[in-house]
Amino acid sequence: MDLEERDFLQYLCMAPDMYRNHLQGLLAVFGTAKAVCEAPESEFDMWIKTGNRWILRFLEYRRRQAPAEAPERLSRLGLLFCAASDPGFPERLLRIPDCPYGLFYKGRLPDATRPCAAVIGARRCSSYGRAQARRAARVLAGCGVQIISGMAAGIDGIAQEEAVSQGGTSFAVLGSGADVCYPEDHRALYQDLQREGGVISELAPGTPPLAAHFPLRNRIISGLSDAVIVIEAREKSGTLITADYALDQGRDVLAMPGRVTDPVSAGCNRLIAQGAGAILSMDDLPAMLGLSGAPLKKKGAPPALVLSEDEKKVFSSLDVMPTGLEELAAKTGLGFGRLGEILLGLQLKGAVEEISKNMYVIS
Amino acid sequence: MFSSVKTAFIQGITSRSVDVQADVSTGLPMFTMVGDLSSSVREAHDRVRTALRSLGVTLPASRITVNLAPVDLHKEGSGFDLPIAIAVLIALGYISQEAVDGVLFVGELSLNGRVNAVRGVIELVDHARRAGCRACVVPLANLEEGSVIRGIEVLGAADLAQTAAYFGMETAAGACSPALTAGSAGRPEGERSPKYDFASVRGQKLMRRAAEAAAAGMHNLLLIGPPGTGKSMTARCLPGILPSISFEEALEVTKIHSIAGLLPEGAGLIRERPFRAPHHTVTQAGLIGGGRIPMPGEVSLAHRGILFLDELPEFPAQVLETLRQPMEDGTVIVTRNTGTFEFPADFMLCASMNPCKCGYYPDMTRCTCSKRDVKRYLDHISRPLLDRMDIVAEAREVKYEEVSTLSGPEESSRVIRERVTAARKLQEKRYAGTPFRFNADLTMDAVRTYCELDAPCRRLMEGTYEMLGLTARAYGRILKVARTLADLAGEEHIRREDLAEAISFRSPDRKYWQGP
Repeated sequence: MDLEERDFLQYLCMAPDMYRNHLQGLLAVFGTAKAVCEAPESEFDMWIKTGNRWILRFLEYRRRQAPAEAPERLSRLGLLFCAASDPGFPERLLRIPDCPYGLFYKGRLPDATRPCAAVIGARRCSSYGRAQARRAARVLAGCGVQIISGMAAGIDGIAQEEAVSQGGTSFAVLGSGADVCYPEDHRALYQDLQREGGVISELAPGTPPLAAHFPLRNRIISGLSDAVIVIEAREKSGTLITADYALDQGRDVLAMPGRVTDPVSAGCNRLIAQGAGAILSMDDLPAMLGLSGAPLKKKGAPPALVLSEDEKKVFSSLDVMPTGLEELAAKTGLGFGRLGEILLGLQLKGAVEEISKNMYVIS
Repeated sequence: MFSSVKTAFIQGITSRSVDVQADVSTGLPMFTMVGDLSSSVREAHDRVRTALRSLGVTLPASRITVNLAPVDLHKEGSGFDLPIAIAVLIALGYISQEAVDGVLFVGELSLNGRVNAVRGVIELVDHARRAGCRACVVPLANLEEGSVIRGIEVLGAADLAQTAAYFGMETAAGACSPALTAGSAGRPEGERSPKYDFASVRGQKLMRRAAEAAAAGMHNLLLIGPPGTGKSMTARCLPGILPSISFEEALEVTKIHSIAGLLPEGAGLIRERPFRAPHHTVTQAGLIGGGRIPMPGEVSLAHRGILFLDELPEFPAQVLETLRQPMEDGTVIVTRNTGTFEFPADFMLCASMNPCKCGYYPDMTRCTCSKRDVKRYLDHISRPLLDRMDIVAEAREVKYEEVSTLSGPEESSRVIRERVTAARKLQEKRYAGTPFRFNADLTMDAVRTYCELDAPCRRLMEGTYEMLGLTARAYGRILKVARTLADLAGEEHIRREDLAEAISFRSPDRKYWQGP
């Protein structure tokens, strides 16, 4: 079987430590991927002499693995590969300055005909952030927007989880190989995403989630999206790196404002001060993204809650920020027993959520 | 001439009889002691010889043999000095054998003849009573303690000369008072007000309520909250709201503390429930009991009282695991090469912990821990131990208005104790004739019998069970606590609000540490 240039490229992308800049350097010298694969080892001396360890690992890889075996190895891992030159490659990504040479993925790649939005945010987020991330995902999924994120703990994972559970489509860009589930406790989400969207990475299969990989994958998150929606971000966070990429790539950045005293909102507020769009309501998101028309799935207004006097008293003391049982008791003047009874009732009606033991928010 | 004097020594938590025999016969001048003695007992002959000289008695140039029977018991402790000295005095003809018949002696001697305090006197006096002795001579410093036992004459000995004179020896010194001090049997002391009072715990209504419920049903209590919110203070107040200690309980507690050598000199019966707060560096042996000569550990010292483990996750997991057996059985069995010892350990466990390493979880604006940090912190606590915590309450930071005295005085421990005692009475009545004493003792089967829910409560529970993802075990615990809350309210049946409140005291589930 004759191998094409694309197959050689795939073979190179599967090499350990073959980051984009390494591959770029090799291609600049040898011209084609085929040439890189077939050049005698002596021609790599200039990298060895300058002390590039990765080239030794690459040569080792070249000795052990033949380019012809690459497709089979990939399919054994359950992965697919799409080179930048392939027809299915996301168009939006092609336009960014350092577009990856190819993407490994499970599931599928984003649909070019449908809008894409990144919903990203802090790992350690507040309960308010969780609730709003969910809401954003629900609204966007309802409009048929494909949600791109990083499958990380916190906002990323929550938004994707919600999108998938609402029957939407979502894609995760990983900071590890596409066959490596990180964080590990998102295994269920990792599986769901393969079914309802895709799990994408430019890194070679089996690459561990190193800290340095995350800024790299962030450029792909913003690159795949039409707009980046920031729910909660701390100062100097990975989320802000993504927002910076988005601006460089000419994407819209929308941020959810927060209280000035909340460290998890500091990054968002800064983005707004610098000119990012302020999200005043998650329901405004379709309009802000320039999506015409009403959401695809228009839900009827929620049934009006019928509350008793005491229930009203408790409900009005609650907020989107978590309130503890003791504070509620002080506000309402009710005993813990009666208060607990009312709160359980409100939870069963779906008006209130217990986000942590004895901490309540309105849902 | 042959003599025999009764004594006893402490082994584990009980005492064993020893007969001290002395004989003076012709032969090479020697002072021999036999009978499987530890070194502290073997040294006695030097102390006895010198102490006897303070009476003006010089040992004759003959062979003196002292035997401690039964020989197959390994003898430990310092209480043998006095009985040995008395036995030698009888053997030398200074005191008649009849004078000491039916008298049990314990006491350690100084070189100048003074009688020093020993450990475990209360148990030794009780032993003398059980053995049918008419009197028991104890060191004067232990007289108060020994006098607690009724039905036997307890005499306090200040020094050897006084003791010998009391039993009919004409001492050369002559001048010392011949009378041993007799103990005044078991004076009941007035109830002392507790050292820590709930009146000084500001705010923290939820934690106060949890403490009250825990005390009323003898439930184990876990307090979770940021540093400096009064978790330890609340725990320290617990003994003050438990029902006052009965005489029998006080006797058990005093015995254990006496044997551990923790009774302050001159102290009588312990009239407060013990509160033990071992540091988290405690070893297994320190917590459970042990040592070459097994001594009661913290769980036994907390018998009939509170064992408080501050900063629970700091305790080594292995040490915490050992708590499971005593919590289940109310006793702890320690086996060493010297034998197997059973120590009582019927305590209420109270533990406190921060929700995470930095202490501010789930307040994400202040908590600096990653999800993994939180998980690692919690992994230190064994799940089975957490499962034995019936009541879990969160402490929160106290507002300024509560710290400053602006708001009125808080309820005092005395008032809370009255409610707790009333709730205990109800339980006593309900569980008469069953092996249960408190609601916390109930088994799963018994929960079905004693914690029946009426239709509205069942509906509430059905809805909640699914919503909160409860387990069968958590369900049982909630019902037990609901039973206690109903008892506190004086209600015969569990009400919806009791159940709802019990649910708010449930153990934190997966959700709590999953992150808000």
